[in-house]
Amino acid sequence: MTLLSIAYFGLCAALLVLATWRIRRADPEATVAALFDRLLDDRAVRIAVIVVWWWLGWHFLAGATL
Amino acid sequence: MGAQTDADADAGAAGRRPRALPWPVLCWVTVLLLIGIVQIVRAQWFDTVVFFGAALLVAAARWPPAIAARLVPLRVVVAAAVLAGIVVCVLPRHGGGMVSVVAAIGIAALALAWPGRAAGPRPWTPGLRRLAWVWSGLVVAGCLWELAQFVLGEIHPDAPSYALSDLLDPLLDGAPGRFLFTAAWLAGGVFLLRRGPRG
Repeated sequence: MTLLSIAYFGLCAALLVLATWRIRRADPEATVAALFDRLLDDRAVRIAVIVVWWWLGWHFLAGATL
Repeated sequence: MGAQTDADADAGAAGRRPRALPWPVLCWVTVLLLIGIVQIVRAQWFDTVVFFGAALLVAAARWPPAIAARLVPLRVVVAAAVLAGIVVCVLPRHGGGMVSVVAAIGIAALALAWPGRAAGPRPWTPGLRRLAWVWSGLVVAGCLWELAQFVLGEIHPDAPSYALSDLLDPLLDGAPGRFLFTAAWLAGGVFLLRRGPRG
């Protein structure tokens, strides 16, 4: 089951990289930076994304939740 | 996707803030509330407060007038991130010092992320839309796996768990794992703080 879980997350990460590369090849403007520029243009969305990012660090490093 | 809508543009042209939350913001509020509900089931009360508080903050962030961002130079942000990274790497995990430093990083990131006027409607090319769908789909797929592992853990508490947290946790006890995670986490934060109106 551990291997299955690692394989699942590995597959998600590999698909993310592969799909990003293929889409970028078809449309040079479709970059990850351009995607996040549009996503984070709105303050409300920016705050939501920053909180989720911060919580990942909190969860693994600081919070006694693991 | 971005939250700039025609209604926003109309309201902006009339010199007032729109009352309704546009759907991208509603989606994010829903995501934060759902994560908050999972934290209630996990009996993690601090995390519950974080996510419900964040949902309120995100909903409220629509109304205060936008503040022009005074761009903090990249070298300053990177130097602060490197310093924070060194401190995080030497402090014991889950200790009081780590709690203080990670909390300070969060407050600083929010303070840097808050200002910034929307650059206005920017085109969503078909490629960008595809990229957004792919990223959303894969992130949701990862979250569903995490949720499934959590539900299985609730049904069979004695069985081992295979959530990402449980896989990464042992790696973070060692110096290389802690260094790699901290570097990736802080680099991600610096990237996020340079995007949006600053991008």
